[in-house]
Amino acid sequence: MNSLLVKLWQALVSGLSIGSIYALIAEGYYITFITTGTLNFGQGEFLMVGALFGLTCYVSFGLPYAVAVFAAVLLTGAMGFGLERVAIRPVMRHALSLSWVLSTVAVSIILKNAAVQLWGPEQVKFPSPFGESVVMIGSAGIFPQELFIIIAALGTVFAVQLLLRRSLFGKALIAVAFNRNAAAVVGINVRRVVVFAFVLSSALAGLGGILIAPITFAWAYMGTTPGIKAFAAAIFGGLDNPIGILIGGLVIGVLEQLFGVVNSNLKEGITFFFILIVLAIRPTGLMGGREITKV
Amino acid sequence: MQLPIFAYSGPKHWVLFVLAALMLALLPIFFNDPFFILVMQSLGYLFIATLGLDILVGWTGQISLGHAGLFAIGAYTSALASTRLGFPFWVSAPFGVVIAGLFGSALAIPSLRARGPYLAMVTIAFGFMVEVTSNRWSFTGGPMGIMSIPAPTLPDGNEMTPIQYFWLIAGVALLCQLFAANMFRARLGRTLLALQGSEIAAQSLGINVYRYKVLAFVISSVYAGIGGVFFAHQNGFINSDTFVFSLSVSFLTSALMGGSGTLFGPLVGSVILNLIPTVFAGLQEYQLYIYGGIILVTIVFLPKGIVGSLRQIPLFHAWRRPHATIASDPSVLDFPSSTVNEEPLLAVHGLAKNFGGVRALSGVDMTITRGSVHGLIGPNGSGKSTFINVVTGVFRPSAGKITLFGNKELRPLGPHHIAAYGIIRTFQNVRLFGELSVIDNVMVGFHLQLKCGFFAHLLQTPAAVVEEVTFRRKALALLEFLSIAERANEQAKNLSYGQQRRVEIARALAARPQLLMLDEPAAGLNPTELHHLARIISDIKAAGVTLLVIEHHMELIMGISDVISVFDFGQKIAEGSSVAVRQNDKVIEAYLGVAESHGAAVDA
Amino acid sequence: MLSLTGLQSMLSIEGLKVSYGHVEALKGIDLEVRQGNITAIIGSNGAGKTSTLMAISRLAPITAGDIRFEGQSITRCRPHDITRLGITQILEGRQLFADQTVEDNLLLGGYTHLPRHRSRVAALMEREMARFPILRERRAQLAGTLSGGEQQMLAISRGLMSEPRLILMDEPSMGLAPLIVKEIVSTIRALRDEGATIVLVEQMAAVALRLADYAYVLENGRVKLSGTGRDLARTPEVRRAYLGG
Repeated sequence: MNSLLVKLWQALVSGLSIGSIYALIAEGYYITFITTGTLNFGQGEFLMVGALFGLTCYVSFGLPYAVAVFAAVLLTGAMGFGLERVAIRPVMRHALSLSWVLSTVAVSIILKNAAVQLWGPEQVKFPSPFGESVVMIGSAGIFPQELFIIIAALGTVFAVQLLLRRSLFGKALIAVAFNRNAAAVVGINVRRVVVFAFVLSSALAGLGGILIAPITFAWAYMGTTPGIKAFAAAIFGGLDNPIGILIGGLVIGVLEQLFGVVNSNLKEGITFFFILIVLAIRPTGLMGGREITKV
Repeated sequence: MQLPIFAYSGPKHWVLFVLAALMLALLPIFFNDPFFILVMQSLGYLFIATLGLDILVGWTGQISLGHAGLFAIGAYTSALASTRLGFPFWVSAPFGVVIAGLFGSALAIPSLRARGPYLAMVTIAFGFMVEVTSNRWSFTGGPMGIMSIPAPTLPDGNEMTPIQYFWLIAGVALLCQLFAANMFRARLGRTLLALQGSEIAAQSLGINVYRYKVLAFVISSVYAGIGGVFFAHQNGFINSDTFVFSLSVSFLTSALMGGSGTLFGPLVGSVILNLIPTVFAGLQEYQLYIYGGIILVTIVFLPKGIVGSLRQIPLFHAWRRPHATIASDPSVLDFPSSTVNEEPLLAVHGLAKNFGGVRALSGVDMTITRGSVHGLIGPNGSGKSTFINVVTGVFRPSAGKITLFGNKELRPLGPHHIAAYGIIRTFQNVRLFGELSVIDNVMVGFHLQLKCGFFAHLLQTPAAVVEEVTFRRKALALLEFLSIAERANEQAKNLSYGQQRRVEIARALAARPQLLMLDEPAAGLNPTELHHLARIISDIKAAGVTLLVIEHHMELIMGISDVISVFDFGQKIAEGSSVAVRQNDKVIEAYLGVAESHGAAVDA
Repeated sequence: MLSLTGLQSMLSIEGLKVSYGHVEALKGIDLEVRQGNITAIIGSNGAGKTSTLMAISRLAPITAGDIRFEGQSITRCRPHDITRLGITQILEGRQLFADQTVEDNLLLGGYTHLPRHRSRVAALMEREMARFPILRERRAQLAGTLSGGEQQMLAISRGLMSEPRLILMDEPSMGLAPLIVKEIVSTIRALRDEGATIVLVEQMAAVALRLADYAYVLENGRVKLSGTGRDLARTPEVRRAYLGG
């Protein structure tokens, strides 16, 4: 009984930690979705690049963790710039609404291949800068990295939201998201805002990667599943609802870990089963806005 | 009038298919290499699955990133049935297909109301669940999968050779393409493309959108199931490693790359994409670069896919010469008219509609009498379009009653129900099915009158062929009535606004309306077209159709209307003859502002 | 360019064509806006009025023709450059940032002055709240919760925040009660008296013609008639088509 409680408690912490990574990536989906109606279906691969490049900086180059984080974020942000240019902008004028799905997937395929070539296909251990020893809270053991993840990831999500609500550029971004023409008419450079949205979104994914890598392994194929699960997190609350996204990420993370305690086989599928139920009841997410088309 | 037209013709295409069949039959004989035959088998079943996906994505406009899941279900079901239950292939295969179809219809349910990324998520989640479940469940063999799946046996007891298996796959693939062609060229293809073009317009013509979406899912999953079954029995072994997200991606890419929404796009796309690993086998390391690169380049530079882009080339059009001429059938213009004129056709009492805090309509009482032309005017935002939307079921009324034919109260139902009562409308912003031809747009209008069902069209029974030709002739007559018949075969989106307007009216007339509601038909028309419109309206009235016309163009509305109702701020402020309305103080005030008395109205 | 009453030409449009895909919304129009005037564009729905304004703001694709603002061609500018040049548009249907506060809407209206000239923007906001005191009262409210008339006032103020030399207004009277329309009309008049140059698109022809110094009637993407507001109001064709006889 006691050990079950301990397991649940540990599952909760692990769940919150991976859930906050989901929330971080989902935040990236939110930003590009509200400004352009698109998102990067290969976001998971950006997480992977953040992890592997961060690993190289931290281990191979021996740089301090903070510097490695900074470098990973910088690289993935720059890649976001490239992504917008190569896979988003050229297809935005297409009437077909699916183009960006496949163009971003195409980029992710290429990235995955590059990663395999650069870092090989095997899983690599990413040593945690906080050490591998478990910290005891009560009778449960937690990795300090997990705590760090929760603080750093959630902190970043809040910081981004603050930026959006309080800063001028953030307000301009929200304006672009709401109504492009009106934003252009008051003098906002819409294109610059869109580029920034993708840079930020990709940087967040890269941050997520280097944060989570010490907990899981770092390898070329690590990105796809978290990318999809973060998408489910974003959908859960409604793609245009920032609070819903945060809650979605945490709920999914915790749900997975809790079900994993019960039965490890259930762990994998529960997210998808859950999101199917949510969407069957509320097709635009639990807290998403309803579409009203003018007839 | 006689016009050359793409008549609905089955026979010509049989030639193509016979040639293809011959070619496929001879192929493995000339290239008798085991690896080659294996590749050809794979191309076959991957093509079938891709074709099925495009019925969902291209024809119906529903994104699906979980097609591998349906493919897997077909494969696993047949594999399990033949290994665990000992069914022969010829029983387990159809069984697998049926189960895949059932899952497809189940998948349709959460997909019906979801759109865009939400729909993508539903399908992704489905695909992942199938993969994860098959990987973890002992019933499906867990990670090891299912082994010793038997190949199909022939009547003489021997197992099929690879060449014979290829012939089986190729034959089924050919049939699948043939059926797809039959469906595409007839009612189903038209209807699906219509509801992709404009769901609301399709509903206004009586199309039950949900039913057709479910049908599209079922057909799509049946095709996927067929592909999966062939896959399972090809190698004797399956496990969940195959049925991953990237397989769904590859199906979608094949469909889009080939040309989504075209008849041969899936064939071109799946063959090309699935040959890449074989062609570039030597460049193992760079294969994914090539794969990803090809996807990216095609999506960016050929958004309509290969076949879709080819269709734009004028040369291609020259090749598609009209098959036959058909004569128009003016009997379509005999509308059902009542012996009793002047009876109330549609009446509303106390009709109200609120959107949040906005009172779009409040306390509207109005009666439209049979045989009249009833005008509806009012400033922008006064609730005229809302009125039509509420009456036709697009919006639920917040209060009030709607009565038809004097005694039948209309319960709020879906918008596709109203059409069956003969209440048809056009839209303020013309909503044609842009991708369809002009005449096909009108054919969609006949939806409720077409009697031949799905299987009749699938198999191209004589009844189905005759029905198509019959209604095509009627469609042509309607286009003549609107003086747009010479553009019958063009894509609707290429017409000018005024021309599109006329096609929309023809389409509405095809639905055999008793009451036709026109929402700002004069918008964007030049004086000649305006004059023509006035004549059309009086012709329609003469044919026995009652009309409600919303308009801003004063001269037109005053000229054609028997009675005019005036709306302002969601309320009816005046009603009467055009003379009476023109002199009504409240009307003048609504249009010209407060403190303007009539007479001194516009002198500044 | 034709110069009618000696006033300087501020904006001139020559042979302008606008197409959305296959649909040609403007088929070649010539138009001139003189400084300090209210120039009206009227016509029925679909005539091309909004397309004209959108072309000037560079929010609609121009397929042919030239637009010159104070002598300079602007057909290659990006939309945000147009605002910086001194042209602003009060969009049809207001199109405020409904989820942001009144204050933020005004702030964003002054985007071209920011981030450098914060105090100037603050002063401009004061000016607008003095013009429409109701905005000060509702400054912390979300723009979407305002009434129709209040939204129109906010839309106008937001446009004025960039200190434009040319103001484009698309159907400011739409969906508003006659009393409110009166207020908007007097606001527009006051702006003109302060020296602003205004292009006014209206479907309610009477409103527009009463205000206009000069007016153009568009039909089907072409200029059908032009003249002073008074002259056009008396033209039988215009009366019949737009004024009910």
